[in-house]
Amino acid sequence: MRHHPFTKLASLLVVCLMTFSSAAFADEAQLMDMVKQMQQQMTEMQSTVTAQKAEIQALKANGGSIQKAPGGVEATPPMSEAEFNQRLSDSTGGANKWLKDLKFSGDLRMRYEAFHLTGNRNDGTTPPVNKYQPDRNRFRFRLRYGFEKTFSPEVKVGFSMASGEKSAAAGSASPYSVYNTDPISTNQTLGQLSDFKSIWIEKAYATYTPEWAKIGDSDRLSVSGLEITGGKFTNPFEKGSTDMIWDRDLKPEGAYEKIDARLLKTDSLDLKAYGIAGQFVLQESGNVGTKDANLWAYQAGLNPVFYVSGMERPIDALSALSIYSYQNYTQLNNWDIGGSSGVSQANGNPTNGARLAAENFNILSLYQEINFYPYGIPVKPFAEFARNMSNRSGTPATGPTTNSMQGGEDAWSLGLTLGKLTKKGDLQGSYQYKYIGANSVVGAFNDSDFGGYNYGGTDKQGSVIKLGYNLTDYLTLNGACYLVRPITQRDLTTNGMQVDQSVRRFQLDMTYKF
Amino acid sequence: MKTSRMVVRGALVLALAAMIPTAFAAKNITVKGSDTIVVMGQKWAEVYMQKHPEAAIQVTGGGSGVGIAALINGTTDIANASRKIKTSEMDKAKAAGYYPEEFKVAMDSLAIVANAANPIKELSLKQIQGIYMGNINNWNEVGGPNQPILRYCRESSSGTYTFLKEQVLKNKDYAADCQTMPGTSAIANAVSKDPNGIGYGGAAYYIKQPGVKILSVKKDDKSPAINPVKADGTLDYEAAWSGTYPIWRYLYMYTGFKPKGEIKAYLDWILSPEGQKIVEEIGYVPLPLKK
Repeated sequence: MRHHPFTKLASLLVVCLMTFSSAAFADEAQLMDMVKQMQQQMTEMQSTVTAQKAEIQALKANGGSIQKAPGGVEATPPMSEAEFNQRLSDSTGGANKWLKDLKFSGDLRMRYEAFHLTGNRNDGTTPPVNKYQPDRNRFRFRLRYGFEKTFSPEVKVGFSMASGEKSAAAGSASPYSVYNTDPISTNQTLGQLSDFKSIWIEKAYATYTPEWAKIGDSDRLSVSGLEITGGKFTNPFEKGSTDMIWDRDLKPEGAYEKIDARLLKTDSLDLKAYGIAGQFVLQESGNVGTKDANLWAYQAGLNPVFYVSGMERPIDALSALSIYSYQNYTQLNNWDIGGSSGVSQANGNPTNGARLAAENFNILSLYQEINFYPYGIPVKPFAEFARNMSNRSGTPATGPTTNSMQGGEDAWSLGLTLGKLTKKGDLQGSYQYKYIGANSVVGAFNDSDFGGYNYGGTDKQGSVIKLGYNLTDYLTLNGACYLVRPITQRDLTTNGMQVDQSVRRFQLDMTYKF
Repeated sequence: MKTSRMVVRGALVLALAAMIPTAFAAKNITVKGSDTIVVMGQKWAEVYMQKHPEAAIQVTGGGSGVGIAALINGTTDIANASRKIKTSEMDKAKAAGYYPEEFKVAMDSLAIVANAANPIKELSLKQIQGIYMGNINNWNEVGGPNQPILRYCRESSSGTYTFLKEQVLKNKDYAADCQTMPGTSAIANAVSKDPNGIGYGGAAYYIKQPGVKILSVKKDDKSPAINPVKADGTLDYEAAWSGTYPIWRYLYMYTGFKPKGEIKAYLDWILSPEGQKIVEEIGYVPLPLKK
């Protein structure tokens, strides 16, 4: 600031004067007194400043007269990098070498959850009778903790652990009762007489981002990066899809390759594109006659960022086309964890003996989102449509009342998000409607919260309303409400909703990130 | 009585009206980031505020990463950086609703220096890499006397340290016996007293340093040796602009999104001949004139 100090002071006084003008102007004499007093005060302050200025100039002029403390200690010369590293290594037992470029992170989420279900009970009664499932309240937590080590600008590896429940469905006789059989939830319910809870490997991966793959000038047509990752990792296909297809807890296994490119950059438009190819392992079986199940996944996205007049921030759009081609997934209990004696992950996908009713899953998905900031408020409408292109000649499902489940190949979702949770005081609200046909997507991998208390999956439709508030930069309070009802009126399916069963699910979360 | 009261009120209102523009129309601009740019940034701010009294610009250092983090947190209008914004920082910014716009505001030539008594006049990039990685340890390996090489370098938090590591050492580690110095002036002082010393830093700083010589640098064995300073003792801008002197970098400013109003006016001024004149005065290389 370059204003004279009195300019500020005078301005302040005048503003004060104006604020209290009704009282101050009550009497002219009073007013004149006040002005005189102000003048006097300003004169006094001017004198003080002048005196101080003179004193500073005198001190500057006599700089040599400032006495240094006798017998001062000489500054220690800086130690060399080698000496410093040696001392650090000695004091940490050599840990400094592997701690270098090691980043720790994680989060802890405490959740209260309540369910109100109406409809017929999934107790195997044939034909189903009108019973209502009991309401349920539960407390859960999710703990995730891990690290990522950067070995060079091109190579890093990561490892993380997460909470999660042991199989509840398989019973004590099954070997799977001691395993985690839920690839889409890391929640742990409190209970079981305060026994000690399990922790599992959530991610274990290595990533290679070669410098040689960066081609061209970053301001023009160029390849800005190539990433190759293998192991068990965060799902790269989350970017161009909703949780209608991918639950955010799922950590796929296998490998993927991602390439980022800039197509065009002008003053008002920045056009980027990306492509992802994934080779995911779903089931590996050493048994003769059993085919391994895999997923070949592809996604291409276009990301234009452009400015329009009247808006301070740009409009940021994302269009993505995805193809998910499942290999042998519908056959030979490949949709169970543990094969024929294992735990079903059909989650709403109709079944027929050892196979799923859908002939196969070859899913085509179109995703669109637009981010814009009217008055600085982040707004994001989004939509996704998916169709299982291989469902039309599927096998009828079995059940007490056999329904043809050859339909239900479409799924769609529409939503709107307002706000962003990035720092203290931020608020975010969202609404999403989902319609997920029974054979449209793989029930094992989509949102596990969209349904009752032990399933998510397919053959459901309904609304999801969420509200979040950042209490601090690291602590978030979230509330969610799921209003879900079945699409078809089918009977007894594994983890499927029954007849007219509807779910009201409420969640209250406190999440601490570190 | 009534008239005189009105006159007094009128005078006060006029006085108020005269003061408000200076007191309340000021646009505060905060600038945070690279320590390399902080002195130049403060000079820019000082001169700009003299010419535009309505502007209030606050410039602080802390490092390029700190400035970019502040930009993403919304606590600064402009981030100074002596390096390009990283992809991970871009992703974080986007997640927070920011779309950083990049402005190249100046260039910086990094000089390699030796003691004035050292007969060596030039080194290739490969030789500099070998020296600082500890693979070349005697001056006679690069055509000099049979004397050990004493390496002086900056602290690992320094942008200049990172710049040499990335551009010359190709991201390999410095030799463990590098003597860490707390600033360019400390390196200049050490090299001027050490006949076997080698150091580096902003070229302009070394021009008038006694006891220190700026070495010419060759891109490779076949390239000519180029000195960042001309024979008349001034920085060779052409050498940096054309890239014939190989150790140079851009200095950047980032805004959260496309700048408008006062911030745009300030950045436009920095990029104008007047703003670039200050770049020269501080000792960096101004941007080449647009043809």
